[in-house]
Amino acid sequence: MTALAPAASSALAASLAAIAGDRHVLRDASSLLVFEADGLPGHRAHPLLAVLPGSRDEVVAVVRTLAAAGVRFVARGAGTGLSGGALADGVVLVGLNRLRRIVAVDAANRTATVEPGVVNASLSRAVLPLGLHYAPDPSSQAACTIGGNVAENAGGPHCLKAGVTLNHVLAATVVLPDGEVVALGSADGEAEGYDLLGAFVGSEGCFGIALDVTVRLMPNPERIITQLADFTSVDDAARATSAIIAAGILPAALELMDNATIEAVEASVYAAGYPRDAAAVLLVEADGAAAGLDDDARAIDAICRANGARDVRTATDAADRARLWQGRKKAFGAMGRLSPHLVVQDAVVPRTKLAELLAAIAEIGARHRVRVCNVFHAGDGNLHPNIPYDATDPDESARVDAATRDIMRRCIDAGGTITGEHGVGTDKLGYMEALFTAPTLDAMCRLRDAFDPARRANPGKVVPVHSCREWTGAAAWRAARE
Amino acid sequence: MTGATAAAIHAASASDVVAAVHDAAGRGGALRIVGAGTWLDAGRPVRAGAVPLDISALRGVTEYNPGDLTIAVRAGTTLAEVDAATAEHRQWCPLLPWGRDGGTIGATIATATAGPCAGALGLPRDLVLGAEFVDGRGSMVRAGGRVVKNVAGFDLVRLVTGAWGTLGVITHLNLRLRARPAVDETWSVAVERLDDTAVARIDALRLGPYLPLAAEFVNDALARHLGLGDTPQLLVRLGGNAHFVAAARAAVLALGSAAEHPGTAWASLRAAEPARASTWRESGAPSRWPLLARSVMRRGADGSRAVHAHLSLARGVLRVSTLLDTGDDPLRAGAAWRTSMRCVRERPAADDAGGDLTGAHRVAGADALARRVREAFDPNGVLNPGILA
Ligand SMILES: Cc1cc2nc3c(=O)[nH]c(=O)nc-3n(C[C@H](O)[C@H](O)[C@H](O)COP(=O)(O)OP(=O)(O)OC[C@H]3O[C@@H](n4cnc5c(N)ncnc54)[C@H](O)[C@@H]3O)c2cc1C
Repeated sequence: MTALAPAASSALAASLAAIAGDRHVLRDASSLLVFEADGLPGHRAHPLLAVLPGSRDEVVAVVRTLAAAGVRFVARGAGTGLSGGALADGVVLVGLNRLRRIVAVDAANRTATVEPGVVNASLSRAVLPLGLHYAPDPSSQAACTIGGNVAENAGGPHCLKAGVTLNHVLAATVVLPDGEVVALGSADGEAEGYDLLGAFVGSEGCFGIALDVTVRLMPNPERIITQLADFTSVDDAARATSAIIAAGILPAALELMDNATIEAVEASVYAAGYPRDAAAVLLVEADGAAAGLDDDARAIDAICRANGARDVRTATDAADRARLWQGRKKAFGAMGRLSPHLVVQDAVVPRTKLAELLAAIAEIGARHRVRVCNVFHAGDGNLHPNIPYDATDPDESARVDAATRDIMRRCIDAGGTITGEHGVGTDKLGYMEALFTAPTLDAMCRLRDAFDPARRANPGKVVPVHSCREWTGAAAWRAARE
Repeated sequence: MTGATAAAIHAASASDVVAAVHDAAGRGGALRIVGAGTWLDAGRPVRAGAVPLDISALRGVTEYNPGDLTIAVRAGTTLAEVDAATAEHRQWCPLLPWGRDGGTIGATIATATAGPCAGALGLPRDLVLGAEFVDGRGSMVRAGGRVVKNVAGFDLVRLVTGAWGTLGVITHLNLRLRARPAVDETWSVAVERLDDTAVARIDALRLGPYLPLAAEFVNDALARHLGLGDTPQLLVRLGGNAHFVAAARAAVLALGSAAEHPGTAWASLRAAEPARASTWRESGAPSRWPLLARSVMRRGADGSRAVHAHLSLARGVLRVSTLLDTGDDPLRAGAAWRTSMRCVRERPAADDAGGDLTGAHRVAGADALARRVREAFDPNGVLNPGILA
């Protein structure tokens, strides 16, 4: 498939405008500017055009038009993705931001059906009067969409106990890239047959576009206890994390921030009152039924102290808790002040190897002369070694790349994975062959082909093209013919 | 292939499985995957002539790191073996599926069999971290990983979980574990009537903060069979620290006259389905549990046949077993139940069924998609053909 000729592209734009309206088909460079990047720094791609449908019907019509024309496309929610998943290089971008209706809330069964453009935090806000919330809480929740969350199988601090997006999605209506509309999963009792919904969650926009999603809502906890444990060594904080998990305590959230992060946060407008001289802090939250919660909090306190915490303090009220969390949730923003760009990685390691990996990351950072700020979902072993840098400086960029590669290698060697919540996108394509065998990557390609035989949805993402045997075969065949 | 039953193939390694699949595909034959064989058909027969592929020798824990709360096991490992290995560290694999503990973990995942604790502790899809499987083309696939969070690549783990072996022969699994609750109590509450008051009380427990590990509504015949009493019962399992369980116990005692039981009641309930029975499963929105419960609570017999029924409150899943006499046709025996269930199964019109997703864009099931998936992983129909028909 080559780029569309200008005339064909104008004809396509006209058909799409007939569906979504002239105002919602964008072609000129200046209006496309906002769609040129997502949350992955240093990467830009120019979409052929952008179409912003306003209803599920319009999305279906758009996808069918693209199918008829054999045109490739990329779905986009809020564009906060950190792996380049929403980058559209010379293909049509389908923006879903206008689909922000909460279609139905079923309080008796604690479910909500929402359009894909509904912003994560606004769903929780909408069901607050019912005493419910949507549990997966990516730090970007004020902006990111449920459609994007489903596509990335997003996580968040409170996914330690509550589970990630996969565990909260009951059903989805999906338009497949060929225009067929299918119902996956079931909101009304448990579905039989293949777990195609499970396969769709985390498919990074390659399996079709979610038109609506039915999610589980959780009751707001009776009580919340938030603790901040202050450590003089990162190693101690990591060991305390492993010890809490190994003791069988399942906090709602267990986040680690190192000194570089604390410094960045405390120097910013998001200052949370973290001890600036701490080597690391753990933010630990226990929530749920009131009875028994103090016991968990006491046990957490004791384990932290036994592992070298100088102090463990408990949030005194809701405002204090909000402040402690603000530092964590805005940590990326705070780091943004350090330099123009920020690499955000999200490898995962077994929880007993956290201390070892954090030491390795520190060594790698020093060796490549880059500054690594660790702020991550420690309870899940989900690292976020963030590296602030200047992408216009080729030497620094090269060192950042090298450090990132070394960190990934160490995480894979430790029995971990390359991404716990941000997805592969384009950013981590290069690591897929280090993580998966060739037959496994081929099986992934076959699964994608069942959803999208023409390979028009989010082309070139997630699995390296050359890993798909049949595709490679076709290319070789074409080359031989020419 | 001929109709004669071929001798079973006993796989001693994953590469034996690869060889068996290649061999079967080469002959145009089929394989019927067998774990411990405790629940072979599950009312879903495989095409006649399929050669049994016995994987029960693929057995044992290959890696267990208690500090990570994860375990790696070969697929033929029995649930009892997983339980014994993890009990040492006060952990467990909380699947606790319906059936006997002699069943294999591979079959549990392949059939996505849940159990009474699934509402609180997770369905199979929530607890599998990684799976090694041999697909119908003889490819050895290593999906997922060992860590508790992982979004690298497309999710082949969810794909084989619940596929009944039709997309791959599972040979090895990585599972998430949980700590066993410090306090673990089992109570039963007699449910004489399911009037509005009783429903409201039980709903308060179901939706309240003291979420039980399990809450299973048991009909009269099954209650008798389990020695819980002559009336329908709510069997509740409470787990957590001492203060939590004390508060939860108070919530249970408020429901009515309650009796405490040993935890073995759960193993008995899980294994209650007799060898000769016709079993149906109904699943609806959890809020409609009273409808399901009322339809079975005192219907302990279907003619001369006993009927055992139990319902998982948190998930709204009902299982009804009609005990068969020799000579009974299993399909006919359950027919009366299926008819009586139809009213429950019918969906009420949703507030906004289609929204603006109008008739022109009718929503199909996903049958065609499922067929394409099957063809992508088992193009020759080698693996358990017919089991999902
Ligand atoms: C400051 C910051 C903090 C973050 N914190 C977290 C965190 O804690 N946890 C976490 O998991 N992530 C986090 N992220 C990453 C990002 O927010 C999530 O991946 C989020 O789910 C992306 O949603 P989005 O709407 O922005 O999707 P986009 O970036 O627009 O798209 C992401 C992918 O989803 C696809 N897509 C979008 N909508 C649909 C649809 N309707 N159907 C099919 N495919 C679709 C796109 O094609 C693309 O591949 C963070 C990002 C930022 C910038």
